Amino acid sequence: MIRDQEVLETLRMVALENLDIRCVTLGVSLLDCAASSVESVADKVYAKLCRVGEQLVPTCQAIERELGIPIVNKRMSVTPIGVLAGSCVKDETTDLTPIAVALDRAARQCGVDFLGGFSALVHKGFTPADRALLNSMPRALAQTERVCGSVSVASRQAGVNVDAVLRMGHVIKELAQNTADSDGIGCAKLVVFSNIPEDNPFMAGAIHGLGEAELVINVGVSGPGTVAAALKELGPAADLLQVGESIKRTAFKITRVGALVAREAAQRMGVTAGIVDLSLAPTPAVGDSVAEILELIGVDAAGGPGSTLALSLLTDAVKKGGAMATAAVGGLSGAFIPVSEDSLMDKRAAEGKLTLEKLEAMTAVCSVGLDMVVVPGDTPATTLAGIIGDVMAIGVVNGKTTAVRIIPAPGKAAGDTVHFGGLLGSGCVMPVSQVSAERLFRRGGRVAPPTQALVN
Amino acid sequence: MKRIVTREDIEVARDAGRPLGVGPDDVVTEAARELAARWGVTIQVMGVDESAGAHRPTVGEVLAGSPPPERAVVSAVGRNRRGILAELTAQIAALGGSVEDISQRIVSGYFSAIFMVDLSEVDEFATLKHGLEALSVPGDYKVVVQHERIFQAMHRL
Repeated sequence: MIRDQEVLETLRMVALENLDIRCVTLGVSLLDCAASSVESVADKVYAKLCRVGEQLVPTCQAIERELGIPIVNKRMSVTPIGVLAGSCVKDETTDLTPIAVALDRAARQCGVDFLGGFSALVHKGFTPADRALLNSMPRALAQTERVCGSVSVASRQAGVNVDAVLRMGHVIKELAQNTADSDGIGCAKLVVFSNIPEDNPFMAGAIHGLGEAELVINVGVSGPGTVAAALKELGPAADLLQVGESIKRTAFKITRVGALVAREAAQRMGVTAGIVDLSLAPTPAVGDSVAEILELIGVDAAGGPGSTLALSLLTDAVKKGGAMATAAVGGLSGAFIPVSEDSLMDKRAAEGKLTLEKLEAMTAVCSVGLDMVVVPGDTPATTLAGIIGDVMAIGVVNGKTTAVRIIPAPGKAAGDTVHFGGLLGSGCVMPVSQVSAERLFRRGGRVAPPTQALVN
Repeated sequence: MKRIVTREDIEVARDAGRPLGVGPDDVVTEAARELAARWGVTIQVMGVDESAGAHRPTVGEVLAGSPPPERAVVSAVGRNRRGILAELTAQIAALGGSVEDISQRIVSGYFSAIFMVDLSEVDEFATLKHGLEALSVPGDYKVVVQHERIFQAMHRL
């Protein structure tokens, strides 16, 4: 029998603490859409996505109604287009924008707000299709509204593909320029990864990996507000083990809801139930902030000394609570610290208390370390590459996913503010080191994988 | 020979609109049982009637079929006023729901009631939900209808 207390707690979590399901993402394999011309690939992709995706939004809406919990985003992820395009690319000058446009139309048709997978896996090297995709990216992501891209440039087994890192520095610059009239918002749809997860439901980095089933439902939970409320109740006298325990209990409950939604959605759509991603994902809404949790744990301002320690406690407790709650954990499963999407994070950055270097350090204990970071528009591509390369090294050496989503806002200088709107929030432009990384990247090549990769 | 009964067999049985007969030694997968319960497809164990030499239902054990009773949790929280409880229960009954349990209290003028409502006679969950939530009065009191599953997921191992 369900007790009154439990009913009221659930109601409170949803109504007052912003508990929601952040995203239900339908992963779709497009491998059967291979064809010998870009146009026919685009046609096949559009037809397939419309066919398999039309039930996603109505199904999620029915679940929302029945369970009384909001499912904020309904999304789709697809096989990395860099792989699929192998069938239709003549050489690296082939323009893959028509495929991105088809993805965009399909997303609109199915009513999903973002679709991920305009992506390439180049952590060890490029195929002509990968090069064509990277060449098309600045145009394709600027011309489309809902398509997201990601590029895997490093992995524990392959090391860091430094050529790819530098290439991404240029792609990001060009994409920012192509969307200069909206402060380079195109870059908010592009993530650079090390150890890219194949089942991540969160945007902009979602892809449907090559090891996945034909159709899969993956779910991302949320709930920084719920964790914050539990910590407030716990008070300042509790020691850090108790803090961890309290977060674990909350994460357990949040994840159980995520697992239930994943099961329900998969069953109703007749597709494979995938994973629950145990990431705490903030939004610009007041009270839905990861920075607030760090400050409740005891750091005076997120970004100050102790922030990495507090974040490690948070991420660890979320995983432990979440792992108890579902058999299928996956995706990124770590806290997110996107600067512009977390209003308190952004405030601390504007105050100068949270710096790029601290965010990079925090990457070591969460998943997407440099996320929605806005930097001056005149930052050189090699400096962007240097920033990305540093984050990739942390991922490769520690055998974890790390990622960068950085926006060099054209015409903006450190201290300015840009407004992206919606879930993307608004961000202050953070200062970037003036020290050049050009000589490093001029060498090119690859950084070999660490000995930890030799485990067989 | 031993047969493995999977979700596909349940789909065939549902499309044909008849119960699914299985042999005593057949293996029915967990996923198939779950699907059968969800769709209300009866899986019945059949046996061999030696005397007649023909397959006939003997054992008759139903492995899955009648789905578990579904319930909704209706909660109403807000300022107390005359007749509020009657209004809610009348509406639940009018929409086909049956109140199985109720917990209600009034603390310093505020009213809180939680109903467990059996859904077996309810046609559409959405109709029940809208019909009841429409009784909410902004700034006065609020009615929320949720399926029992979310509470079981969150609070039960």
